Amino acid sequence: MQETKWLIAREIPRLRRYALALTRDPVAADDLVQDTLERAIRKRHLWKRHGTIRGWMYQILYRTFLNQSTRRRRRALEVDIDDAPEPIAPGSPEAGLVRRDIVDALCDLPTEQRAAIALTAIEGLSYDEAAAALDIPLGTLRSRLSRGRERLRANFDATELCLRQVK
Amino acid sequence: MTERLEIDELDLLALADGVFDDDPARKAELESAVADSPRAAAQLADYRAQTAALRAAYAGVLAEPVPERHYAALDGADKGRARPMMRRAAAGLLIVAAGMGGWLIGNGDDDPIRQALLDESYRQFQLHGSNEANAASTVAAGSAINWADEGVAMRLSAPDLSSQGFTIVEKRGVRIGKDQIVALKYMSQDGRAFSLFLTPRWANRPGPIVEQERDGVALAYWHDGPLASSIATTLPQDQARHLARTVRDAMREDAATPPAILEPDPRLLRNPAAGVMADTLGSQPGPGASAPGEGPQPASVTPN
Repeated sequence: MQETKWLIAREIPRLRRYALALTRDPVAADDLVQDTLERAIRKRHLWKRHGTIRGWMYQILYRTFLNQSTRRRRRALEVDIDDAPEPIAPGSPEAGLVRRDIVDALCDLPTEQRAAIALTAIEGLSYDEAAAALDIPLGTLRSRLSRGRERLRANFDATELCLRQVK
Repeated sequence: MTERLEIDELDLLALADGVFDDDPARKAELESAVADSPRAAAQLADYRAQTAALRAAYAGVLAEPVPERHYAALDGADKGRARPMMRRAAAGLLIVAAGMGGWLIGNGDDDPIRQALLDESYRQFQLHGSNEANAASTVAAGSAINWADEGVAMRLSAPDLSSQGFTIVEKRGVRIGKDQIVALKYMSQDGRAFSLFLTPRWANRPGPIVEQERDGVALAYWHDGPLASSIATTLPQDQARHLARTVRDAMREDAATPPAILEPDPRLLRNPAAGVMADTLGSQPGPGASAPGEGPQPASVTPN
């Protein structure tokens, strides 16, 4: 099993990048990676050496993220009303001041579209690999990519590229 | 009249995501169609700009140091335990790989795995090295080698030697028992050619380039990163040496740095005597196989 650990360790930098694309928050991203690694180690006997371990790890990370998102939503409903930030009303002057760079645009996408784009555009997975990592049919992946990319197109002005680095 | 190719949004997405990089003909066909459509061209440019911006935005994460707690998580029961400095230093030198049939280990000057790969490289080069390149088999240098299909857990790219004037003209997989070798044939426009052979190998540290010459074929072997590699060519020995160094450097740039953690759990799959590995390919030795008494010339070592 030691070789499996080594292979998993090799993927940590990419897992952190994928987690950051999903969460945008570096601390939350590292927590997500930590949970993913612990889960992968516990379940490593389930990896059948079919396909890359990278795809398997992305799959675990995404499932963990979805599970955590569910818990976060539940907690959000219980938050004290006085602690909740003031929402920005659509169309308000504040909204116009919100900076729309590519990271913002990506993070505004629904989770499933964000994950699909992160895996293909950032992580460089093939469509087959990305579909497997998200546990969805290829057609569904294409559909999510198509909708997500078009939405990015609408929100991200390619003529004013803002290539700032995250973190 | 030429029929105009219909191109839809999914084609544009696939182009932007590099899906057709392994299919140059289809890629060229679609790009030609895009060039005829300003709307499609603008859309594709937007998609590519998105991809470039996303990759740039997240590029820095890969270079960041990995939090120690992530590595500790892999140790399970040892979680949180500080690692002794000596172990850490030694682990930093580890370069390991998942073998196609498991994990291999080799060491020292008497290296049967090295000899087996050199034998097989010579044999394969004699069988296929002088064949004319088949244009239909051309593969992109940067495309992934399909290790995953063969049950190996790594994703590697064929080294790009275009800066040296070489392009890949042929890619083959050679199965030897449970093990496999990926054979890549490179050729330059001026007719120089060599074959590169790659196979996973677990080794304790990078090895020097070891050279041999057999019947006018220059061979060079090294193990570095997660792989054992060898080249075979009829070019002069000094050019073979230069090629070996160039390939090794190109592969170092591509390979992920092994983590400075986790000592390997080596287990010898076998200890093949020289030439045995090659002969297991079939019941009959290939035409390039050495006859008894015609063993390899003594190896020489090129310093790193």
